Amino acid sequence: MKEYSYYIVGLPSTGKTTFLAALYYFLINNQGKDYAFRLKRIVGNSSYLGEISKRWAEFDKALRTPLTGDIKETELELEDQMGNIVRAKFPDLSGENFERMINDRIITKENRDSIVNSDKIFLFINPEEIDIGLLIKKIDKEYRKEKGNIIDMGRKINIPTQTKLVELLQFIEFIKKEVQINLDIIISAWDVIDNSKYNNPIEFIEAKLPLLWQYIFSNSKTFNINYWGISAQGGDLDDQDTKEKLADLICAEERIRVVDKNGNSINDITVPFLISEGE
Amino acid sequence: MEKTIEDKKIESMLEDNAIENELINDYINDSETEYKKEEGIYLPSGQALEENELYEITSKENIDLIFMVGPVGCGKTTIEVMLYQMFLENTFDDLYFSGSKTLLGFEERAKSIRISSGNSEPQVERTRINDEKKYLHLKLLNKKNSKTHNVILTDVSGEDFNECKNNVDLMKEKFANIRSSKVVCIVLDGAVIVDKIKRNSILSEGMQLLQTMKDANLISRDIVICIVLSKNDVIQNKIKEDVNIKEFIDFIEERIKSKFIDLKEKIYLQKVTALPDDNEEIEHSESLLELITKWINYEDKGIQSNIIYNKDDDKLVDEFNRLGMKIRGEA
Repeated sequence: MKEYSYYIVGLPSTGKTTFLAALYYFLINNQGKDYAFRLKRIVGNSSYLGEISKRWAEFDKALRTPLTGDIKETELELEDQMGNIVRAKFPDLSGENFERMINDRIITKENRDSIVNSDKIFLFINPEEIDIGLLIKKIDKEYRKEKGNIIDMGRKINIPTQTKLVELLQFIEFIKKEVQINLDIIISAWDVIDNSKYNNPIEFIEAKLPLLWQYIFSNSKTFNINYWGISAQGGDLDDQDTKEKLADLICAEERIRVVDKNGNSINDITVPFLISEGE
Repeated sequence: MEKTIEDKKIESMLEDNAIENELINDYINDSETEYKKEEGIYLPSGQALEENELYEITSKENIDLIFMVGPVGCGKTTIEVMLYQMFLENTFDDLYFSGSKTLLGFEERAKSIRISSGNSEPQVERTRINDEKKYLHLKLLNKKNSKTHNVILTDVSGEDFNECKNNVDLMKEKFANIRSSKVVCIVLDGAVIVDKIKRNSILSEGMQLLQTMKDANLISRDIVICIVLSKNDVIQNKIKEDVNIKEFIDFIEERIKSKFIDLKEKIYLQKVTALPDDNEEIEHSESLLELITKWINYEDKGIQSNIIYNKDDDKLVDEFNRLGMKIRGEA
């Protein structure tokens, strides 16, 4: 039996927990052979996944991982289409953990070990939460506001999102040393993306996150990369009409939409967990 | 007993300290809520590097050291920050951002030009005098030839240059690393060049710096001298009012070349708009891209980690040549 460990990276509110909730719901409620993986059995305690998937099914959008407490690591036994059994481990870490890595430049030993032992890294990006680090000069003078003298102890600098993401990838590279890293970049909330502008997640990253794009392109020997656009919620749950439409679906997992790097759309949320031989 | 004025002063100072300590404690408590620092593993600081930290790069890869020279406020730091910023905003055809060991260093310098600062006008903070953390790193990929460049930019305070611009010994002592540079970039403040009362003095200051560096034996023949005319947007606006400015600027390169004939082939002038004035249509990234592309495309110099140690020059013991020394079993 193969054993794969996944490590999930993402700043706060990037959809990591929602993804896991939708995944668990999908695995529990589908046994079809058309999917990359199906659930063989739950290993140990998956109460956490059970709880978040329940909330996902009830359209609770406030799925957030608490900072305190242990890493919510879960193990599942999955079976692929060839009948191979894979034991998948994945911790659910709060986005604040990654903010802290950037601000405090420190990582817990447990967390470091999870990175070292991971077979694949998922990097989550919320397209609606991208701080571009806008320059003052780009704003008309009439719209600029002076905050006045604020006490700045140098404790926090507002770092643009893509700089944070590059820094996190550099940390991972630093921790994993010379090993080639399987990296899947996941653009969450793909339903908010304007499809007439961006057919696939690569086009989005190239246009909206140029620093990250250049970094991963020029480090292609270090990172073995795949890209996904995933809508795990199904739409904007604050919009009552959308919520009603989604609730009308007979199978809740039809809310899920996965777009691959070529723009092909499927609803199999287990596909990103595939690790091909040689990766 | 009645308190004296001195007692009151001390009390007031202590109160100020108490506020400061409280803030610091808040910060420490904040950072350590979830785990104790001693239980964690430190990650790279991301700040500008000190000289001895450069070894981490030079031991593995060649570097292009760009030594930025110029008086206070001429725009050295702004140019450096905006070189990084342009990769945040654009993807260029030939040059790709490939990483940086000093992302936080760039961001610390950029914080006052971003809207998140709360300021209504951008103001790049002055570089501190004698700051040891003065090396900024940009790793770039030249897609045309698939070559990677580790560009190291120095961020040295203008006051430091002021002290030694006419003092050969001090220049030699403080800036021995200029010898290891690929490019020495002398920045002339474009906003001052347009002022006919001050422009000759600014140019003369640049000449003094070059003369002193040369006399301190810091400028070898293979070092490229890039004269950067900063704030070109200001210059272009003023040229419309005063045609003499153009004449003066056209004369700068010729004047420097005629003074330093032996370096003539290695001197060139580059006009740069790093942070354009409000509502300017000038595309600032173009001039910055041209600037950095020229720096990295000079092939004949760059610090090659295995050949930089010159045995004849025993005084040149710095982090750049440690690997060379190591190879020879001397370090």
